[in-house]
Amino acid sequence: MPTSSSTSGSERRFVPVAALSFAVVVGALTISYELLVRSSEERYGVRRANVVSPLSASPKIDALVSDLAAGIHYSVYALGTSRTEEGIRTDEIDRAAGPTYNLGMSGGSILSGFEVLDLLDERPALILVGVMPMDFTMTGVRQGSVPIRLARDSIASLHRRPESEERGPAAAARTMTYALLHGASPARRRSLGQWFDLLHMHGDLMKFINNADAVAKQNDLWIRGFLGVRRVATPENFRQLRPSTIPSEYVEDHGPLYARLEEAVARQHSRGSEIVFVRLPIAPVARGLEDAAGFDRDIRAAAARYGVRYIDGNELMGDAFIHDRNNFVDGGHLNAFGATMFSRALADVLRSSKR
Amino acid sequence: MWFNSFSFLWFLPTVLIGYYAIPNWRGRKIALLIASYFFYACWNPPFVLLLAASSLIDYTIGRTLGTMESPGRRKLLVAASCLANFGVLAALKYAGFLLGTFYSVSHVIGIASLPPMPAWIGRLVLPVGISFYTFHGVSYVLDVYRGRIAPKKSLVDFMLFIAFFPQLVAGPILRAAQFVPQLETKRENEPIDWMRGGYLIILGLFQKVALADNIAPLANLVFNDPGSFNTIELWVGVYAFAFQIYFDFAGYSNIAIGTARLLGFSIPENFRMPYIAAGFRDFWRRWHISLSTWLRDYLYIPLGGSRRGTLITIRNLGIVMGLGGLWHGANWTFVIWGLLHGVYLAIEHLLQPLLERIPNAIRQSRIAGAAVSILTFQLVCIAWVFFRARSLGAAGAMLEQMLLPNMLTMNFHSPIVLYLAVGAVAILIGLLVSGRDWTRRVPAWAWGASAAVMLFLTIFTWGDANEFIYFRF
Repeated sequence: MPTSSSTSGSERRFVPVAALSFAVVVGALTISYELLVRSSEERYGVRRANVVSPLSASPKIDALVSDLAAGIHYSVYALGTSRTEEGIRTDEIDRAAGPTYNLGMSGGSILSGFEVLDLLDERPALILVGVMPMDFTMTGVRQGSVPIRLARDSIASLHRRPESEERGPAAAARTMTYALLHGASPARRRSLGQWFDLLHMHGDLMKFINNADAVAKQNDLWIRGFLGVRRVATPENFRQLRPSTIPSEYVEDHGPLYARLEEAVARQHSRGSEIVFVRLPIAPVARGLEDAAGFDRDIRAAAARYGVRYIDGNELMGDAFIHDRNNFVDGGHLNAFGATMFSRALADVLRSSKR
Repeated sequence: MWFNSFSFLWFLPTVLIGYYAIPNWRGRKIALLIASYFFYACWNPPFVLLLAASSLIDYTIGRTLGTMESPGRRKLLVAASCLANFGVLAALKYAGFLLGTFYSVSHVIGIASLPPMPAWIGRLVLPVGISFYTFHGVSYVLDVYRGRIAPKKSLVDFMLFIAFFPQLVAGPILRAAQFVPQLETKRENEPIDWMRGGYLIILGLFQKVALADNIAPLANLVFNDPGSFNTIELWVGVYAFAFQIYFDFAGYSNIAIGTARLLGFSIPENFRMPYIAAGFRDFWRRWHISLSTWLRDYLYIPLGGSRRGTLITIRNLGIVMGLGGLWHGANWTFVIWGLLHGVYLAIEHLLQPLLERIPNAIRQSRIAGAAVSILTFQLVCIAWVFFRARSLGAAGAMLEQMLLPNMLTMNFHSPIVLYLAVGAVAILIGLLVSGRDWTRRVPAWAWGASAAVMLFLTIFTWGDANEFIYFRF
């Protein structure tokens, strides 16, 4: 392309030729693709793609923020670390206490979970707090700043009006574009990754255009923040405490962090939320290490002091459950099967206490 | 308002029609200023006041500098401008970071009885583009102070320089000397300028929507859970991020430059195929050029540049690149990213005498050039790990796994293979269309056809609609 602004003879020829070729190619591609889309719609009807646009780097927070923006609120939140994320199955708790969202986030602290709830200005009826020693370490608190930042990003992204909420001339432009080009509408649009999936799986093009194969791949056990892991612990990792670098911090003075928890609990109490501390089931070896650091004593005392109910997962599930590595991913985390069993038991306890 | 939205699709033609319908140049500038403020207000209306206040302060200081002769008072005015501009930036962007660092340091040295961090810190909203327009204002005041430019008399011109909507929220960072003279005379476009502007907008949208957004899932997959991937997969994820951020930001810059071109203005290019750079000085001459030249002119050279001995040069590189990293975000990950580039530049500086002893025939051969480019790219990618990782700990763990290969855990997931292939195709297309020389050599019909294919892919292969990465800075 000529780069000077002066209009020479060659430039005068360049512009119409380029414009004509642009119009011809874009017209040919667009019209043929659009005809394909319309004929596919005629044959298979219209199915909507299940594709969530990420707002921040965390699908969990994004999904929640999107729900809240759409007016969907939850009665129960589960806060905690990866133990909670992988151990409290939301659809099981739903039945006992109402719509539940699992805000457990790997590597953080319940203190950051409370802060995220504050940021979102949520006042649930019940907060299940999945407690573990890492909540009261500076490592947990430092790592917990990440979900807070993600929540802020996600909330800030809501200032960006989604395409579907654009009004006035922008909405008219959108409506007109999608009326002319069905293939460009969100329900029909395909990312390059989806196209590659189609080729890789030798899918049917016409069905693909109508979403038969275009539903975004999501973990099939991702249920409102609950992340079910299908792996089963090996005999070796069932006997290990993970993360292995933490225990030195377990025995430090946790007074200031317990004070922060007390403050967070009092704040949520004043907003009308009931709080239950839940210690998720872990393998006997890990449990022994944590209790040796005084965690069991400290958390029971804290729960009594704050007027909060405490449920011990190991006691609730019994010896047979916690000695069976088939219920765990490793010594500190339940797998999907274990989480289902535990969440059912937890739901029963919550239901009975409601009565 | 985002460049990749229907609002902008409506906004731009409306502005162009209104702008060219006004015969009077001053009227056009006023219209453009109103449009720019409207564009900014679409994000969060109250922050328009901050933008206007910042502009008024710098305008007033610039005018006062023009009439004041006392060196002491002039310095005081420059300090006032820096304080006002960087003060707001520090309060809104860095308050949480500084306080968080203070708490962490206090914990390390054994102070445990601090009150909890104030909750309002978490509720601060960072105004979009503040890092960019702050730099515009500061560079103007410094240029007036140094006598490089005369203070601008017209308030409209000055406010338009700060708020010119194509570059307002994510650059390129404009200098008054580049832009303000263009406001003196009425801007007119030739047909070729319209085509060039349109082509750059299509290219930018293609880079953002069809390339960056389609590569993003691969980078996100790896960076969100690095522990689940082996060495090769991690490198693939890092390469993906390297190209995601390049296409994302280069895409934004191209749309900005193209939009300005349609309005008759010329904005300097911000990227020049950075991943073929041979060495880090070369890289920073090609990557985010408007920021690197800003840091060079207003920080590196005033600190003494490379003229005061090796140690001072290394110190200056550390300061400039560390602050450059911090400019990108209030997190130690960005600081370390910047410092790592400072280290790269320092090593390159130290090796320079040795490299010059290598015979020219070897040093300037294509093989040597390619080898240096590949090495540079690898090291740039290592630095990207800090830029993208959620925390320093996560970056460290990821680098450990990347640099100490453990092939025993080889476990290629099918999605990553898919995304790798998509990424490779996208990167290839991107490299082809990003080469400016390529577009200069091609005949008119191929130029039009390539624009058409890019537009088609942009419309029909829209990836996950992420905002531009640099909007966060």
